[in-house]
Amino acid sequence: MNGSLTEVRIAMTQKIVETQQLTKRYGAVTALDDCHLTIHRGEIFGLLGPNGAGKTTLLRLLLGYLRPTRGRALIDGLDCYRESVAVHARVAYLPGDVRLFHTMTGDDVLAFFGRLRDRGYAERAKRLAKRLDLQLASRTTAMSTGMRQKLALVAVLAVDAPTVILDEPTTNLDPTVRKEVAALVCEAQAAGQTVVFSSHVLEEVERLCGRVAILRRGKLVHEQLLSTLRRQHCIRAQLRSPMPHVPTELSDGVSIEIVGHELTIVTAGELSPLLAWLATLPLSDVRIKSVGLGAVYEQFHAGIES
Amino acid sequence: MSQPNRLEATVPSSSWFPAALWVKAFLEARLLFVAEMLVIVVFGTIYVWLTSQVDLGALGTFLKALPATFERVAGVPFGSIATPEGRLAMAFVDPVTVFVATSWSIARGSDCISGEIGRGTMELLLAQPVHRASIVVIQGIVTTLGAALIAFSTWSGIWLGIQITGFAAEIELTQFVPSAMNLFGFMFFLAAFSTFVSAFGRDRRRTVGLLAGFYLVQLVMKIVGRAAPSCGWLLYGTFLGAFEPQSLAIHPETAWVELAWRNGCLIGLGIAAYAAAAAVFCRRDLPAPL
Repeated sequence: MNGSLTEVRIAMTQKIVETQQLTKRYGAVTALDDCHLTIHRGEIFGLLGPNGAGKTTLLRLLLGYLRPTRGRALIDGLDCYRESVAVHARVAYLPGDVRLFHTMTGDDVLAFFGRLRDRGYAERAKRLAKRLDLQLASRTTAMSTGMRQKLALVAVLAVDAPTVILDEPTTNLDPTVRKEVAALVCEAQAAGQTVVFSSHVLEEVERLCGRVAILRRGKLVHEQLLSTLRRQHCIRAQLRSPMPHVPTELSDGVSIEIVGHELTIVTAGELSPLLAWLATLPLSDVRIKSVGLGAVYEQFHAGIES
Repeated sequence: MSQPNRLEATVPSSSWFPAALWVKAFLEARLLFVAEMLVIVVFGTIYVWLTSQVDLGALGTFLKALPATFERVAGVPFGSIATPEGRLAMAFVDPVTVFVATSWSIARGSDCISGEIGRGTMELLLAQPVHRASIVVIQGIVTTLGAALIAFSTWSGIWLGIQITGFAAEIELTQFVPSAMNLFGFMFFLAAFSTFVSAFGRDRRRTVGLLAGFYLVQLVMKIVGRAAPSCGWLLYGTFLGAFEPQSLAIHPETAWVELAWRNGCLIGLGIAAYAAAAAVFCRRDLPAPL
């Protein structure tokens, strides 16, 4: 591969991951269908969906493990399938189901990956292992599932790669380590890395990610900016008398639904002007909560597309 | 992690033959290799001692009593087997030697791709900047080195046996070098073909099963091809037709010429099988671990 050409291609793009019409079929089964996705440098991007939604297929296509049936995936402007080795030099990947070399100890595993990566790897790995309280002298076969997961996380997060892909990284981990992993993900972003994160734990995704994509039955059905979602609130209350008209200045970005005496208001913007107006209404039992990723996820999971 | 901004992180150049893969391949092969080398050296020594205990005249009489079919299957005249050189030459086709050779070749070849996929370790391995073909080439080279050393150990076991027992001390041991090289050719082809079958699989046990079936069919083809002259064409369909180490030791005058074409076939086919294995593995989808 022409090195300078590669550098030019990298410099030309601020989007680090891109898929175009990406499709993977296994016979009659479509695991991923016509997926268009763009992830920008420095983002923490979440992938959500139930089992079989196509999250892992998408990640495996990004890693070049699978040949796309149609379309293509690019990382740093490089074709994930055709230029997979160059892509792997720019990606650190944690598989969903981590299996480590059974003949090796924790130290051996890190030494093995260190030989394949840059010079600073060993030092970073040692520091991370200490932080996650990992015993490296044991053989991987003698480690518990959680310890193996931690070892794999250290092996992956010590890689100084522009993109980090984590497939359900906190599975099998206790709450303390989960918190530590979340901190490490944030630190990776602060250091300029792009993190693609697949998880079933909505709270974790909501807390960490800037943007999420929801997949259902192999299709990318929704992309959600978390900053927008964090501004959205749902207000529920009981109406004691008929509802007056909504002032014009508040009607934009507000949806109101009245079922019997139950009033539901969903707002997408700033809450304070709305609160002032609500105070004038004949309401009781007022409850305000943020919409949350769970509600968005449920929309698509339940098959109701907005 | 107090890291510099990684937005423009330097990317290490990928290597076709990274040291890490060599170390891993040697570590994975070492136990089987040491065990097989010890077995074959000890077996060779014991084989010479047992041979020294046999009355070759009586063996010749016994062999003459056997039907001609047996002689055709043996691949060498019974008269030659009842000599010290002939008996020692048969060590290269003894079931113990063949078992050690096939187990090395099939175990290493089947592990290369389907073993790694089945264990789920291929996921992390291929996430590193390594070429898929490198995995096949490095494993192939380590397996080939092991095969060469095991073949040499077979010869060394016979040498050691002769030194210890003093049996047939007048025999020129270089006479068995072509036999050892033919054993190496056999192992090289079988390891390469095992790697080729492994390139399609995701479960090592299934690969080993398929290879065991393949080997049995090839063996039956050789036996039938030899036993029944009308079925001699079957010998062209089995790689075992090129594996005749006993004949090479018994006919030293033509041994090197014969070795050239026999090993030429085995090594040529082996290289083709490795190339095909690499091509298949480089193009196939990597399945999720079982």
